[in-house]
Amino acid sequence: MKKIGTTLALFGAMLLVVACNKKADFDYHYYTPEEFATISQYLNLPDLPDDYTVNFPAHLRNAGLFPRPVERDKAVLGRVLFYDTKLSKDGTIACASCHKQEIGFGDDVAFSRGVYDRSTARNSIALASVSNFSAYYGTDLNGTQAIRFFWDNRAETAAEQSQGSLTNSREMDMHMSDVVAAVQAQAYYSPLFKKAYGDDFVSADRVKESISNFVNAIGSYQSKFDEEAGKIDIYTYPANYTNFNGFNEQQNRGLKLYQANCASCHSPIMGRPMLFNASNGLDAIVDPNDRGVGYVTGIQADEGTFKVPTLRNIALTGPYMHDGRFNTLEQVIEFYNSGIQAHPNLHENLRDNSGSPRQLNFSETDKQDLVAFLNTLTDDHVKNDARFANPFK
Amino acid sequence: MRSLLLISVCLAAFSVCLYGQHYYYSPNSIHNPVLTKKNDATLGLGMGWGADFNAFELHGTFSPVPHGALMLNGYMGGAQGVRNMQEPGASLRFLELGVGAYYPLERGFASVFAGAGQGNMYNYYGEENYSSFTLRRYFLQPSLMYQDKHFRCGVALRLSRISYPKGESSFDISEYELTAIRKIESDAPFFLPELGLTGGFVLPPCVIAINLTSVFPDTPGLNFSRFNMNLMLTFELSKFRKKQKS
Repeated sequence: MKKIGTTLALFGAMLLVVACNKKADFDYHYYTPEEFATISQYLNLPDLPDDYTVNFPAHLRNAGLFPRPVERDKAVLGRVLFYDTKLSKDGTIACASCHKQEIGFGDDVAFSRGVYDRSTARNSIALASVSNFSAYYGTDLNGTQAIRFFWDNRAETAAEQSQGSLTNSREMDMHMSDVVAAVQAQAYYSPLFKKAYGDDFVSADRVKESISNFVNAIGSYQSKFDEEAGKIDIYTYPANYTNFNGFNEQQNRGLKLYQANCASCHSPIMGRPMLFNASNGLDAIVDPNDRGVGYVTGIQADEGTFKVPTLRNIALTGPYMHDGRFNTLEQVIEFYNSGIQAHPNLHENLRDNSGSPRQLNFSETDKQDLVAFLNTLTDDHVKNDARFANPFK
Repeated sequence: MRSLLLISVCLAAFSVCLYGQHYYYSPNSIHNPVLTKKNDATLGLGMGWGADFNAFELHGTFSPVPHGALMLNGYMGGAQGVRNMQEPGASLRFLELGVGAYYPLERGFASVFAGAGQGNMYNYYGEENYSSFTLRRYFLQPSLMYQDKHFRCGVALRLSRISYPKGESSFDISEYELTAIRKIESDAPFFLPELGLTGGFVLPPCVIAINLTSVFPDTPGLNFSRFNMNLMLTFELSKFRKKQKS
């Protein structure tokens, strides 16, 4: 008995040790084979959907920033819509035509080209940081205190913004009914709508919502700046956002200059901009051809003011300003250094004690330092992330 | 006759079927057999309950040689409608074989068994979304049983190695379930110690007992059902043969 028991115990122990060593390897099914075959004729989508969850690093969360929740399947659909040129009148322009991933989802010209080679009226706003401030945008979530869309803040929600571009005669020049028809005509949308909405019914609202979900997932929070900000003790925030151990001396000098001269409008932590709109004194008068936010609100104080943008990825997203008048960061810095005009609605942050436009009096070294700092705001992950790339074959 | 009537009433009282939530492993009750000599055999039929399921179980043993025995365990848990995609829930079907040794003690029995089994773990989530995994288990099981004239109780430890050699899953299921499945895929095989307690009444030629089985380490994030309670009616077949002979 003893022998049998011992043998058995050893046998069992051996079984437990040597057996079951095969690792699990499961197959996952998302699309049916027929659906995936249809999609794959036109698109390079993975057989399993990408994860579009946005997870902010701690230093942003600790600052009270949070992204809007993104619905995965709608973001997958939105990605295809974002890159689909068939949603334009001449079949050549997509959202991505003016919002290019490789340059922070901006454009590298002052005014983008729309359908029939028409020129847009303002510089394309980079979308690479939407999720960074998405908690604050949209009147649907934030009411009157919401950040709005376009340089003139005329769109209250991201969905409204996407419609604004789809229907703009200089951009994609479609009626929303035409957009719906264009989507319905493409076989690859049926499975994507089914996944996103449970059925393949196409509506303007669903198109706009899906594009919004995709854009909401685009965020920049892995730049050199973020890497260093993440090391700061939160209990001393924001005091230590003037010196990062991982920055070189030039970058740290630039950081200090930024905090002292730029952060009051553009955010000391690269969160949402501090102002909804402002005049930065580009001109001494209100341009009658482009009154900015004032045209939308009718408020005198808004005349000639424009959205204050985030500076994330700023090194990628030139030309700069609402009319793309500056091609380089050096030109922008020089403007702020010595070129601010006495615009009637010039923001007080850019006025000196006498109310006149500020002269920052940067030295050449200061300017170079500031450029060096601004280069730390580039998040290379955004421009290389396959989830946001063009899915069309 | 009175014994059989009592047994039937007990079984009927516990014949309740409930469908459960989703899980990716469930312990069957630990089979703690009582064998005394060559040609002894037992057959047990039981109804089991866990935190999220109910099950039907089969236990069988046979001693072909003195102190040596073969064991067969079968388990079928979950509602039938799950496998037909009629109702969400989980369903496990499992069969295992073991070989072991037993030794009568002064007031009870000691045994040790080792074996292997395989089955299918199936979950239906609704809207034609499902997962189906092959579940394989190797085990080593020492146990002790105490018995007097009317009462029997025992304890067993089952050291199990759980693996999932293959499986498939719909991707369009809840994030919670998908996370558990992916964790299983990355972390399997698992070494799981399970503890079983049994206690019952000897009503010759039957024994009616309650078995409690628990996976005793925590299994966070795996969505394992860790607890099983089983009411089992065991027929000691050698006692039937004795009755026939007499």
